[in-house]
Amino acid sequence: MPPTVFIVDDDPSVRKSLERLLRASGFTTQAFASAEDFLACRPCQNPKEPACLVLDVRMPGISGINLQQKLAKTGIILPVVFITGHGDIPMSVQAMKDGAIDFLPKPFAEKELLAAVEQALTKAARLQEETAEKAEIHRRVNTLTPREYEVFRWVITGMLNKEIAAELRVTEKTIKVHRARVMQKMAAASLADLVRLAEKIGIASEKRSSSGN
Amino acid sequence: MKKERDLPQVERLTIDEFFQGIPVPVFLLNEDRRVEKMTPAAAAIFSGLSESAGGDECTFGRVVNCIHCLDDPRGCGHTPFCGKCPVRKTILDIYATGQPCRQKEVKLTLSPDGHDCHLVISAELLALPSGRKILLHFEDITARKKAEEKLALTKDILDRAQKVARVGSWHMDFLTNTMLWTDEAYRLFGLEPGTPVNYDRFLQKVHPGDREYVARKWRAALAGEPYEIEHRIIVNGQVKWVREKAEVETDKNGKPLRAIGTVQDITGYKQQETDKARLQRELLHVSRVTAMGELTAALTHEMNQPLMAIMGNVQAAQRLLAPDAQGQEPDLEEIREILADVVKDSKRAAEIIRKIRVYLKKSLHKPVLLDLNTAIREILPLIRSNALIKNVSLNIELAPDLPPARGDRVQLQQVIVNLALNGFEAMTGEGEKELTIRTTGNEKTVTVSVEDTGTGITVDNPEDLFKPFFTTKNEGMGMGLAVNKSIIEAHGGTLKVENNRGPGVTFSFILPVYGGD
Ligand SMILES: Nc1ncnc2c1ncn2[C@@H]1O[C@H](COP(=O)(O)OP(=O)(O)OP(=O)(O)O)[C@@H](O)[C@H]1O
Ligand SMILES: [Mg+2]
Repeated sequence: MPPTVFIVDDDPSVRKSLERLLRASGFTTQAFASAEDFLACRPCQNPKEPACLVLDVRMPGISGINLQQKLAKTGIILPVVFITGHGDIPMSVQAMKDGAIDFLPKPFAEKELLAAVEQALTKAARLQEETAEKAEIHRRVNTLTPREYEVFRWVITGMLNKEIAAELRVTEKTIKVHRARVMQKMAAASLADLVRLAEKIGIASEKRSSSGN
Repeated sequence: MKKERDLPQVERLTIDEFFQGIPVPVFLLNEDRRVEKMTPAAAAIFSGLSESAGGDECTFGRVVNCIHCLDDPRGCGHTPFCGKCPVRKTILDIYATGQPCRQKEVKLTLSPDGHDCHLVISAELLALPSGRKILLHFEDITARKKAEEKLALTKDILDRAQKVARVGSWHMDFLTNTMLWTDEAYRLFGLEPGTPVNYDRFLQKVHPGDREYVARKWRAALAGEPYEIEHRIIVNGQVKWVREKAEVETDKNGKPLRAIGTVQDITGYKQQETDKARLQRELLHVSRVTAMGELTAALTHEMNQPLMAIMGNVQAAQRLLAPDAQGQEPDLEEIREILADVVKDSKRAAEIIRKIRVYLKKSLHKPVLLDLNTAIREILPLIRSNALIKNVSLNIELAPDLPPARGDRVQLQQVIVNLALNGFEAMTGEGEKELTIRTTGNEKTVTVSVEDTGTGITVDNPEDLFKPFFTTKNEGMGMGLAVNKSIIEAHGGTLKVENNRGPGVTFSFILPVYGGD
């Protein structure tokens, strides 16, 4: 199935024409007359395939800007292309900061819209990939026992088994066993690989203080 | 000075003759504090005092407890405690210690009128064959003290007055190139009172942006021009505004001798003025922008929606009709629908335009008889405060007996303010800054012109300036002249621009006279 573009705009003529244009350009579309309608569609907010949102800035009720913020807050990764009938320049600056792909003043040409949508979908794909990867790493971390997790945190600081053993007051051999389990469970080929995995899910590999906290 | 051979004669003087010859008040007292000898000057002082004390001429042989005792053996009767009398105490001290007293300043309160009397006492113990004596010298410095007190009081009054008024004053001596400042002048400039000052020190305190101006005005003042200026100074890193006035005194060749001036702190006024001018300017801008802005915002939104729909539909149709659409037959039904929508949205756009025209017609003001001089006078405060901020001198030359025009007062005022603002904005560089607003008239037309000494016009085609959104300013919208032009044309007039022979440009508009044709 071709990638989906969600359209939210309160003007029925605009909504209909955008749907036609995007469909004629080979996308699947789904249009909503308000932000509320879109929020009511649960699956839309968690698409299996990369998707994006073409969003009108000013609408009665929840505005486009508010919708973007709401989605961002709940951790939903739908890249947004804003469209507007006003010259909402100050708003656009904030929206761009919040990660909007583009800000198209109506009436825009098909070229501009398609370029922005392509860019949004690329970003969506990348984000989905990253999310999937993160989820996988988290899944692997969750298989570690508490002791293994602790060893994992020490190992990625670059400390030697001997040092970790001293730190945890166990024998070097015990650490060696734990370390092997960690590498295996995390499916890491090398220490560098393990560090990279940790960083991906935001675990810092700086040397921890040995004060015991 | 006496010659040496006269000396033996001096030695032969009796002590009485000696006392008669001394021109200052001196007494010789014996150990009982009785006056044995006194000089005529001493006698004179106390004869004066004795009168005020009600006694007779001063006589010898009285006990000196205090000054009045010289006249009254019972004591002065006015100073309540003789024991506190500083004169008496001095005499007793000398007898007790043998130490001389040099230039001791004492104050006595002399009744009955209770005025203060200041004396300087010097006294010395003499061991003579006839016994121990005291040679006592008085100097009455009451008059000098009074004068000093009065001076101090005058200075204090001046100082307080200056502090209240936030006015300092100064004096300048051209021979020595020194200046004298009052304490308030020092305070205004953030200097410790008494710091040595001269003109250069003053100039250092002047805001760098105003230094050239201040120095130029001062040179002019030295050449005889009046000196009354306002400028900024920097005090502890803060900008202050001061107003200065000065008068220069010259010798008969016109060479400056000295100058006296005042300096007043007007930071407060300036702040108010600036706030007011800013407010007015903002108001003006807001009214212009909102009137225009509301219309354009409504217009853009209303127009952009159908235009967007049309554009999207047409482009969708083009795609559907494109030959490479996978060899499929174009969906004619869909295309028919698209075209119907395009027609519908085009009608919607046309309807918006029709509504705007109706709205514009309604909002046109009814033109009335209008005296442009009065209209200009009404906006002068606004223009003047702007001129003040921008340091521009303003000339208003309104023709007497200007014939009336026909028009909307507010709109025409708007035009003049726009032209004046542009004039101010064009005069940001160096050089004379002058804005002239002038009215002239004849039996057919009245003309208002606004002349500046700014950058002048550099574009090839001056007509460009009147196009909407043409601007060379960072903050400009480029609507000022466009609005002006449409207002003037709606009044049946013309707006034109010409570079001056000197620096700057003149914008003028010509309107038909009311009733004239
Ligand atoms: N007195 C003047 N001297 C020199 N140039 C001028 C003068 N008046 C106008 N101009 C030029 O004409 C341009 C257009 O003026 P206009 O008043 O229409 O717009 P603006 O002053 O730039 O912006 P705003 O909309 O704020 O008035 C100015 O940007 C300036 O380049
Ligand atoms: Mg202007």
